[in-house]
Amino acid sequence: MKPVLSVEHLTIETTNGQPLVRDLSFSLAAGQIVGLVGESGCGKTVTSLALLRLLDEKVIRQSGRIVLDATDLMTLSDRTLRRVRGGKIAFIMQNPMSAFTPVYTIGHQLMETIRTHDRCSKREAKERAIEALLEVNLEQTDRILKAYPFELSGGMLQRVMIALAACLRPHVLIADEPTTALDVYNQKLVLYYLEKVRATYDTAILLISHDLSVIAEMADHVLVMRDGEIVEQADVFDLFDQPSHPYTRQLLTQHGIQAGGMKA
Amino acid sequence: MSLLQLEHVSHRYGNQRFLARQAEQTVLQDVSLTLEAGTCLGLLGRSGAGKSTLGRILLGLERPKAGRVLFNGQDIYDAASKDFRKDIQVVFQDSFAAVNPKLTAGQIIAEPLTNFLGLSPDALDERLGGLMTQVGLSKTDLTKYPNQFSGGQLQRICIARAIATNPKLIILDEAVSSLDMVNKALILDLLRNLKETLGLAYVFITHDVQAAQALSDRFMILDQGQLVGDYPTLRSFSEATDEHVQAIRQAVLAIHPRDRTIRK
Repeated sequence: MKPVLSVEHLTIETTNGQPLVRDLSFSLAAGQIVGLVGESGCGKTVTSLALLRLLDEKVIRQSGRIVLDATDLMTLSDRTLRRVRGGKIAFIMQNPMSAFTPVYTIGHQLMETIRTHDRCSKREAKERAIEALLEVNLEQTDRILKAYPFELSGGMLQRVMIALAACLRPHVLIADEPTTALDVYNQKLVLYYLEKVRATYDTAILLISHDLSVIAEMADHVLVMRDGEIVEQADVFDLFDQPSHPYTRQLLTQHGIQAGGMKA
Repeated sequence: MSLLQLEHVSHRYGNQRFLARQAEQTVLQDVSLTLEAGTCLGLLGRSGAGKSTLGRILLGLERPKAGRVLFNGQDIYDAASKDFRKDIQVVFQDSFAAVNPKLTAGQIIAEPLTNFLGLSPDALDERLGGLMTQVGLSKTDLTKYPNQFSGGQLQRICIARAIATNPKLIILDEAVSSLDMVNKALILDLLRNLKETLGLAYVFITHDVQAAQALSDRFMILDQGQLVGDYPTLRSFSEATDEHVQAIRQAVLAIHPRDRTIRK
């Protein structure tokens, strides 16, 4: 299958030469979920930011190719990039509380995003926003559109963020620890809606998590990252049944799976 | 006599808006429980169930609207002395928010020691060194500032601060919820060790069933401010089939991809 996003030899380092991520290559096909797993500090988030070129170029240098639908994002101007972000690639962050602007209502932020990417009237944008909220089972749409971010719970906000990402039908969705800040009940709900977006729009998802259960539930393919390098990548079933790298085995043991010896 | 006893505790939060009477919201309703010395109570429930409010009440930070909190038979809200504060300590979820960023680890841990025990400088130094060893850090870390530690290490500092005054009870309010799997396992091990060696009792507030099971002797479920389940042993909890336990179990994600339910 032809990949929607392919990352080739992505290397990230600080301008004073400290390496953060070394020679990362992987690709995402339409409708595929790739899990990126690793401990805190291994470079997961910096990778996700680099894919959208959101890192501050004064402090951090990145090299390599990030090819989205046959265009290398590294060659685009800031102006063109802004149209790609949120449009073709959507981003879901770990902490929904700090991802929204506190001074505008949810409705304002949803409609602004829709109208930035697609030419449409305010009324049309509002209709699409309402439709998107209903898709993630947020039924009191009037109240939510008028609400400020602090008036909603973390679980609700994360669903709003998924609605926002989904209403532009992105080709690629990057979800950086989308459920880490949520309780277990909301976690399952949010994962369920991510899967719904994938199934409805054939969106490719890069799912970043330190939780192997999230990976086990969602991923087709898994990248295991340690200290800025991919130490192993494999199909999710192969990885859980026959991990080849000692670090993967260690992670699985801590997760409660006796690796290698678990043949059902 | 039980170490801790709650008798018919109820609590409400009201909106204190000028000249506006708003309906008060009940956050805890008629909660009664007892906790024996040296045991761990796992307090489970979804966000907004009242778990953290209950924690604050146990710490003496928030007088409940009705009911009594007895610690060693003494009502902590009617006690003439605040001595119980030395015996009840707390560890929060967000370790970075729980420490003063301008103080070194040594100063952070020394604070309860100087407040409650008034040690000589030499004795203080020795105690600090001992505490660092107990939580698996080194004495040289005492001069570091919070931003020089990882989340897991800083949580160890918070634990060292909590055990500094030789408390009888520690409230663990989602103390492992934001750690990655490696650190979560390590901190749970540390807490289990400390419980055994120091004879500590814990109230372990969490929404993470696996973490609760790793540490607790007894389990309770809080839902919309009411205790809806009480399971005196790990066995009775794992064999229970009532709706509240079911709801929690259904929210638990698969450990292995072959058991996954969100993606088929």
